Amino acid sequence: MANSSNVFTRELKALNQAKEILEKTGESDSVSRQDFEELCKHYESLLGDTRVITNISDRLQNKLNRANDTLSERSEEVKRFNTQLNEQNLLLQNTIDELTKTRLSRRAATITIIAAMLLFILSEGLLEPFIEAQAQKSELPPTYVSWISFGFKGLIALLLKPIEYLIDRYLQREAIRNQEQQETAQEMQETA
Amino acid sequence: MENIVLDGTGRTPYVSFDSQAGKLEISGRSIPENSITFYKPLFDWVDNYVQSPKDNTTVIFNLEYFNTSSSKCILDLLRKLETLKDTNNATEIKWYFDEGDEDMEESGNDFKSLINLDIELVMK
Repeated sequence: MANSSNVFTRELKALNQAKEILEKTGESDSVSRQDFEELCKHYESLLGDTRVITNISDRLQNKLNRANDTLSERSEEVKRFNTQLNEQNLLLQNTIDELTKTRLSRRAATITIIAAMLLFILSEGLLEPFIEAQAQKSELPPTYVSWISFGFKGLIALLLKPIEYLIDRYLQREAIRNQEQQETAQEMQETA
Repeated sequence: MENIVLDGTGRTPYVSFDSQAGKLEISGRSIPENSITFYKPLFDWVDNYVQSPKDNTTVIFNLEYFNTSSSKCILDLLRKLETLKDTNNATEIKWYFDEGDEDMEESGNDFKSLINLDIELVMK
């Protein structure tokens, strides 16, 4: 408020002068035309200034209101964009997770195929001769030997799916653990 | 008399008062913390200048924004320049405003209606 009273120094001076004149003037005395004219002049000037300043002040306030409205609108827009971005990010993350799962499943399947090939080679190269040798010792009929051999191969084939499942689970867990370690390392870097 | 040259800041306008050229310019933004502190030296300069002005005086207002107390100071400045009308001095006052800036244009019109000097409104 000190600022606004300082810019009205001239007007305050005129008012004080008028008050001094009034104090000097007795009840029966009349104020001189010159003094009254002076007061009117100052009053007119002050009124004119007040009108202009009020207009300017109103315009400034309107400008401020418009700026505030624009700011609010932009703020809402930014919020909407942020929400959309977050949704997109979530979608992206889900897609990445699915892709990772698929990649790991394929890796598990590849490992299982390799394991199956190795088991097949082992069964043909080691297991079957062993079964035949044992069968000859115990003098079992050849059909029994075939059934035992098929039985072992069938067991190996049946075990492949559980083996693939276990490998897949192991790889998924390792991937999750690595991701958590990376996130922890990143958080520590950010706080440091 | 010494000229006044003040660089514009974020809150105060650029000021150039040249008594030799008879050119006074106030440009930029006028939103000082204490308007009278900023404008008092300019008032004193103008009070001095009108005692012995140049034959031609050009006053340029090229403001982008001003606060309410600055508007009072601009009015006071214009009132001081009104005294040049009584002399043989040719006074030219130009009030600049951007195209589309109705607020600045209307402020110029308000000043024009109050001051007994010819104020020319110029679109930039």
